[in-house]
Amino acid sequence: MIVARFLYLTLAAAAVAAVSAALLAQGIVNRRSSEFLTDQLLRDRAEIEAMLRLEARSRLDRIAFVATDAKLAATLRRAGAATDAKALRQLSLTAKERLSAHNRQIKKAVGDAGTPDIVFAVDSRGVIVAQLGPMQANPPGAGLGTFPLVRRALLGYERDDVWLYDRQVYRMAARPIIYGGAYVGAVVHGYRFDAAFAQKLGKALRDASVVFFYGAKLLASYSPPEVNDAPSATRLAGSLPEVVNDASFSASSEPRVKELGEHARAVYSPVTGSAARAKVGYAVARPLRVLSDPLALFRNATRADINALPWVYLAIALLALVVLGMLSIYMERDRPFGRLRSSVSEIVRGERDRLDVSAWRGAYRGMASALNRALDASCQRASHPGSKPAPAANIDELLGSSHVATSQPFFGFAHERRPTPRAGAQAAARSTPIQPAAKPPNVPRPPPPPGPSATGAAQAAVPGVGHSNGNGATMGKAAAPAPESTSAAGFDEEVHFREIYDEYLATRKQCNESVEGLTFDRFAKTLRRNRDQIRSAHGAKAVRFTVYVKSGKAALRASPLR
Amino acid sequence: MLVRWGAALALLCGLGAPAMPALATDVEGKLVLGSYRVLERGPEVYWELQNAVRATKRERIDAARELTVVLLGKRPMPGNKTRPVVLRGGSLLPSTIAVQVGTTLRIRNEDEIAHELHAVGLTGFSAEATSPRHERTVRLSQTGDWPLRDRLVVHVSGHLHVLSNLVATAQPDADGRYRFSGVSPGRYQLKVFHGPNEIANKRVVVGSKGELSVPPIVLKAPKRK
Repeated sequence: MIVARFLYLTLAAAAVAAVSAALLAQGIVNRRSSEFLTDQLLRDRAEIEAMLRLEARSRLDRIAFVATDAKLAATLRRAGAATDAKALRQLSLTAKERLSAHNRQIKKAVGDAGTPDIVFAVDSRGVIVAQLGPMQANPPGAGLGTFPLVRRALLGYERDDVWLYDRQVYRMAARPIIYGGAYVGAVVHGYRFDAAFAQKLGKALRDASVVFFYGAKLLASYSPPEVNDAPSATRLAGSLPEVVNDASFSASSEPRVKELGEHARAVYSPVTGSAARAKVGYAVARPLRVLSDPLALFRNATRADINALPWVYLAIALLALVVLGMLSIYMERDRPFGRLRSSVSEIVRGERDRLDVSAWRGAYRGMASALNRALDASCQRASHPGSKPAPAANIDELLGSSHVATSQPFFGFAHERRPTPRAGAQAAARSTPIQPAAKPPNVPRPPPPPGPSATGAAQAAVPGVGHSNGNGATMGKAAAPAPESTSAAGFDEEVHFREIYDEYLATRKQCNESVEGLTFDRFAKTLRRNRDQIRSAHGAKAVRFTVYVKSGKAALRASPLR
Repeated sequence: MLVRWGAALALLCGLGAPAMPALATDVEGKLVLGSYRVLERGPEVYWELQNAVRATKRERIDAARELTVVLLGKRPMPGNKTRPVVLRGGSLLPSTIAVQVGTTLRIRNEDEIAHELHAVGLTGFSAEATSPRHERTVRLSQTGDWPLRDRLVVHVSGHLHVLSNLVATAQPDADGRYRFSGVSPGRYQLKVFHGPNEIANKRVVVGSKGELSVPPIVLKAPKRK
């Protein structure tokens, strides 16, 4: 069962390798997922920056027409020179009307989302002349001239910024107002960070959660509802204290990637503008999807993944392995087992006495040997109940009967079955000097000797006549006699018979076999009969017999002499 | 007769009649701003574009807000005075403040939004909200200098100098002109502060004449550290 064992070992190794591969694949997939998520978050941040930049430009462009309002410009010029509080209030009302009209125009053009939340019109010193928004009821006179956005606008620059103004965060834009060839003031407007804005950015990123924050306080947030494991705003807010307390957060515009537990990750970044110093920023988060176990590889496979498998090659490999396995089992188990069963059936039918141990290998050889011993033991018990005497010798059983109804003498090894009359010729044709395939002649079994039945034991214990070919081939376990001369010159048959008889008796005694009933006359008669058969079949002048031990029992072999 | 007037005079002196004061002098001068400016790195923004109609103006220092001129000498001013400072136009006015140790700073918010002014590293001057049209006082009892910041209006940037030998302070106007009134004769050190930087230092001798005109001081930007 060497091949089968090798196959089992190979299968076991393949199974372990498959499990190892699955575990390795799980680790690799999880690591790659983690790396990919970090890259994706950094890309998200870059996309948000690009969107904020575009949005800032649109804010600037939206007030371009306001900056060219001549009436507003004239009002601001007069306000800059006004010293009378009453006159200033009147100018303020005029400017506020203009700003309101412009807001209506913006709303009409882009909708409510485009309407600014706070608007200022300032004079050339940065003093608020009019405003719309949370503090529009305030009288004019407060200043914005030191705000970098306003200061630069008054110098002639169009600029954006992010403000923290009255504890609110705004996305601002400012444009200078020119009238009569001189800078007379500026228009400044701003938009809050609200849920609609966060949603707009989050949807553009696809499946990402977005939050805007001021310190540890959330300003606006969005989590995609269609993503089950999308990080929530609450989860993002939980990391804010640690993020904003980092002294480098406001000092650098570099993004920071942080873990949100085991299944999410976020990138935090300060806004681009002066409010970054007040710890105003935004975060983008995504879920981290990892494989919890190797089987998840299969659960996450898509139909496309399955279709991409090389099914033909897999089927061929499966078929080949199955065939190989079945073949090895047949060759190493089924076939020898069948032969063993067939041989045992022949013993049952009486077609043979014992099994030819050399015909099997490995465990089957041991089984055949054990069966032979079992047969011997049962025969012995049957013939000598209560004791275990050696069975009486039966020459005819040993050497074969002269009443063989076949023209083919028994010319084989000691263990071979005697061929039946019908099969004798075929067996003779098939048999070879080395391969003991021929059946022995179908010799009627002689009556058992008196006393304990020796038939079975004799059959089991002593095989028939064996022979060797001219090249001196021997049986497997048998003790092969030394090769002798094949020439008939100087061969004295009677002396030889006597010698063989003595040697055979001695060998039987050595093998603890019974010699009861074994007379020389009977022994010689049988030898002569076989001699005649061999001489007629092979044209030999004489036949030499040799005694040897086979499977612990004395046996005879015939060799033709020419 | 002469003896009587002399006795009367002696009597008056003995009664502690105020002695004749030394003649106080007004010291004035001019800071030549010229092209002086300290380039500060402003906050990052997405867009800063020149308008397409008119050339942009150059950034100039707001001398009245950002510069302080001081006289330092052996007879400093008393420290129990109050120094008013306003938050106007979105920032401190003046943003560079020089006071004698022991002075109480009175900060008034004239903006329409709240401020939370604080001196970085100075105990007793922590971030405290000052609502519009309200005041806050801070007593300065140790010498040194500290940056001033605002938690609610992040662009606010100032500097506080608490000195032990401050004789007088003056805020220049937009053209750089300054004036000290009633300075006693003596030797003084005239310094100009711009935030944490001392950008001018000059020895001044004040005589008993009524006015002293200090030669113009050309301001030079301090070397970057």
